[in-house]
Amino acid sequence: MTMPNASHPDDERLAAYAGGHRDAASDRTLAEHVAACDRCRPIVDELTLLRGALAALPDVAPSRPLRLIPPVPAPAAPRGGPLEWLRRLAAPAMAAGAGLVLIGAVGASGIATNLMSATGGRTSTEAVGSDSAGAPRPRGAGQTPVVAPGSVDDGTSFGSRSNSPASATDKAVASPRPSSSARENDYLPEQRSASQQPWLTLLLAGVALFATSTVLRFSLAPRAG
Amino acid sequence: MSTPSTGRPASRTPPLPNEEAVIVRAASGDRAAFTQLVEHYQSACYGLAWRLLGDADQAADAAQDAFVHAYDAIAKYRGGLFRSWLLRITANASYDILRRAQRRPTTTLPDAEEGEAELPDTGAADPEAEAGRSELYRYLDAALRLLPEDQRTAVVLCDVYGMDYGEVAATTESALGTVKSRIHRGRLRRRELMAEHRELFISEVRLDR
Repeated sequence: MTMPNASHPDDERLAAYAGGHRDAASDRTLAEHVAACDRCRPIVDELTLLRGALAALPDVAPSRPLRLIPPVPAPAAPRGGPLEWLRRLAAPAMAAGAGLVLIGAVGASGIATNLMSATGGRTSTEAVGSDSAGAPRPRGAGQTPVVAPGSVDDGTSFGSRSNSPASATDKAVASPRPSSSARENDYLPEQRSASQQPWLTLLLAGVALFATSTVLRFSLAPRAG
Repeated sequence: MSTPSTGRPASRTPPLPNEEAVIVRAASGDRAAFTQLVEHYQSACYGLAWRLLGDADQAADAAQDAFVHAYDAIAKYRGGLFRSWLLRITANASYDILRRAQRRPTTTLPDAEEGEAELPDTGAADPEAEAGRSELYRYLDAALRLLPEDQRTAVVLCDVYGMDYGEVAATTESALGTVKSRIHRGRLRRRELMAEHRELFISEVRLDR
C-alpha cells in the first residue's frame, strides 16, 4: 500500500504527517512512500510550508483600546456587617417616607377643597373663611357647636345634604327645620377635621419614617477607607 | 523538506523579562502587575480572538472577557508558559462568543487592494521587513477565514497557536478524533485555497526561512 507505485495514502494521513502528528511521523513506511512518491511529496512539502507560515502569523494589534482589568468591585457590600440589610433598606424607606408626606399633604388639602366645593355657594364665604384661617372652627369660640355624631337630628340633616346634590330645592321645600342651616355650618368644620385626620396621620407617619430612615442611613454608612 | 517544522515563530510577543516575578505579584492581588501582563499580551490575545471570530468588535469583546477570566483565575495559575495559559483562556472566551452568535462570517478572499481594509494592522515593528511578508500574512488569514468554522477553529488553535489536539478538543468541546479529522481536512482545504496564490506563497515562505 505504501510502496511508491502502490495506491497512495489518504490525504488526511498526509496532512497528519505534514503536521508532525506522532502516529504519522513515526510511520516509517509512510515516510518512505512520501520521500519516493512524486504525487505525495509535493503535497507534504506544501502542507509543511503552510504550517510553518501559519505558525509565524504575527500578533494583531487590537482594533480599539481594550479594557485590561476588571473594575474594582463595589467596596460597600461586605463592610456593612450584620446591619447591612438595614442600611440597604434606609434609602427606599426615605423615599417611601417622602411619598407618604406628599400623599398626606395632598390628601388633606384635597379633602378641604372637596368639602369647600361640596358646601356650594350658600356657605362658600364661611368655608373660604375657615379654610384661609386654617382652623377647623373659625366662628365664635364661645359657641358650643359640639354635636354628638350619634345625634339623630344632625345626622339626618347631614345625610340628606350629602346624599342629594340638589339640596337647595330640598331645603326650600323641607322648611320644617329652620335651624338646620346654622347648625350645618357649625357642623362642617368638625366633619372636615374628622375626614382630614387619616391624611394628617399619614403625613405625620411619613415624616417619622423619613426622619428615622435618614438617621439610619447616615449612622450606618460604612466608614471611608 | 518532508520533516515537519516545529520551531516557535519569532514574530510573536516574547515573554516579559521579569515575567515570573510579575505573575507572582499579580497572583497575590497586585492589579498593576496584572495590568502589565495583560497589556503585554493583548495583541496575542486579540489576534487569536480575531482569527477565531473574524470580526474586530467581537474579537475585542472576547479579549476583554478573557482578561476578566484571567483576573479571576490568576491566583490558581500553576506555572507553564503564561502566554499559552492566557491564550487558552482567550480561546475559550472566543469560542463562547462564537457559540452564542452561531454565525459564520461570509468573507471572500480579498483582492490586494481590498485586503488593506479587510484585515487589521499587524503592528509591524519594522515596516521594511514586514512589507514583504504582510501580503503573505493577509492571504494566509484570508484563507483561514474561508474555511468552514469547525475546521478554522481547529486549524487556528493547532497550527497558528501551537495547541495540541487535546487542548483543541477541550476548547471546542469536541472528541479528539473529530478534532484530528478537522485539522487534517482544514489543512488540505486551506492548501486548495492557497493554490491560486502558490507562486507568491512559495517564494515568500522561502524568503522567510
